[in-house]
Amino acid sequence: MKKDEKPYHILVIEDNLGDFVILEEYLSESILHLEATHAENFKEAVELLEKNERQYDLVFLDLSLPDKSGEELVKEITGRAEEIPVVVLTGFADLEFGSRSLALGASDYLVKDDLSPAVLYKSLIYNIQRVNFISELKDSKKKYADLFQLNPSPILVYDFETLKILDVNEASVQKYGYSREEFLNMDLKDLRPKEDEAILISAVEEFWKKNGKNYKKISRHLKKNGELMDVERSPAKIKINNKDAGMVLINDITENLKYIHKIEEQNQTFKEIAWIQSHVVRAPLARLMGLVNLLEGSEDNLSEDNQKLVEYIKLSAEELDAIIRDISKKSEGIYNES
Amino acid sequence: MNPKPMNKELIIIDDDDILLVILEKMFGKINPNLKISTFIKGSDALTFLKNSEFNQPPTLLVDLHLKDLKDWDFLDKLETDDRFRSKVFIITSSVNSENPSKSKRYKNVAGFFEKPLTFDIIQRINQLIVESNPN
Repeated sequence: MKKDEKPYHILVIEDNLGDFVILEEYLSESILHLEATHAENFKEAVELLEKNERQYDLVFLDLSLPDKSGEELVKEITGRAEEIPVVVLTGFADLEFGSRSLALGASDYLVKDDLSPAVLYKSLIYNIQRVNFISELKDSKKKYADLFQLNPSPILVYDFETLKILDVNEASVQKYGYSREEFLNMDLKDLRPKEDEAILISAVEEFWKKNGKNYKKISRHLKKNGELMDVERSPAKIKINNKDAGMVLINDITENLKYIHKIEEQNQTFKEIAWIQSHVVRAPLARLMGLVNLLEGSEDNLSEDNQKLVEYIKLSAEELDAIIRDISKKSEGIYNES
Repeated sequence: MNPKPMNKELIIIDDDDILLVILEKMFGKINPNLKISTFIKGSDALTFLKNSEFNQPPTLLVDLHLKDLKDWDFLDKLETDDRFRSKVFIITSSVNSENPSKSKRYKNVAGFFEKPLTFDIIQRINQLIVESNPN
């Protein structure tokens, strides 16, 4: 049989030197590069684990050591061998305890009298891989939890039936001012001003009926300090413990709306000014120009000097007229763009 | 034998009383036979139209922004009454470019002029008044 060429470093906690030697020999039949560290008692094992100079791939643990044994021994060792699989070695007498040790944190148990190279190798490979899977699973679970917990936008999860809040992330706590515990005793209605309750109920119903794709709505939410904010809600449907739940991403747009209102107000003022330009200011000017027309058409002969003066008044009025038209045209251009 | 042509009538409505004087003088200069009435209030002009007998409908010269009948209100009121078959010329001091195209919605509007009205324009309006048929 071809040997496993990967290097393995194992810790064997075993007071019987003979048993250690057999174990090492058996494993070497399958593994080319095996490094087995031997701890003869509990104290030595703890020292080796705590020194943690090198990461062990696996720990073999004999259940009865001179300085500690049984349940306590398994607990102490598995507690220290974090993320390292611990395989318990038992005699026939302890067979029952072997299975109990799994509950205490051991990955596997082997009966000493049944050991063979094949059984040992299989157990070693199987348990190392199992621990790897578990830690990968933990990592991905944490990754998804972080996406929720560390998301910069507040996210609320609520029960569709009762509207009770089931979960919130850290950003929700920051934004609303309620602690997580307070949130979990509230429902969605508590986040709305009283008069908006009907709006909430119909919005939730509409979202669940509509199959909720691209559903975005703006509403008013209350903070703990009574402050109102305008929020844009992006909800999604999820299942929690097999029950329908809604997950809502909250975007505080209070400042954006304020900004927009301010611009709208300014725009209104601007329109008024434009109207004043095009009509009010121009009315007396048109009258002035009319008077000049009348003077020019007058039958009474004006002196040459006065004719010049009338001409100057006319030029000035026309210049002013051109300016007003220009302003008026510009403001019309802005109107049409908006 | 030609019957003597009846004097044509012109009604000018503008809330600017100085402008009324100017226009009255200018029209008087161009056509001394024109019978001219002036009104500051649009509602007064409507009452006058309603209560007077005319041989033929008078021509109207109306400012677009009257104080009592804003924007197109005067024209709206005029159009709803079938007895008013008068030809209307709109005058305005506003330079809003939307106005001329809007005025086309009214079938009795015959022209749209920005103030000030020059003698050339007055001459053109007078020509249209004089050439208009009695019916």
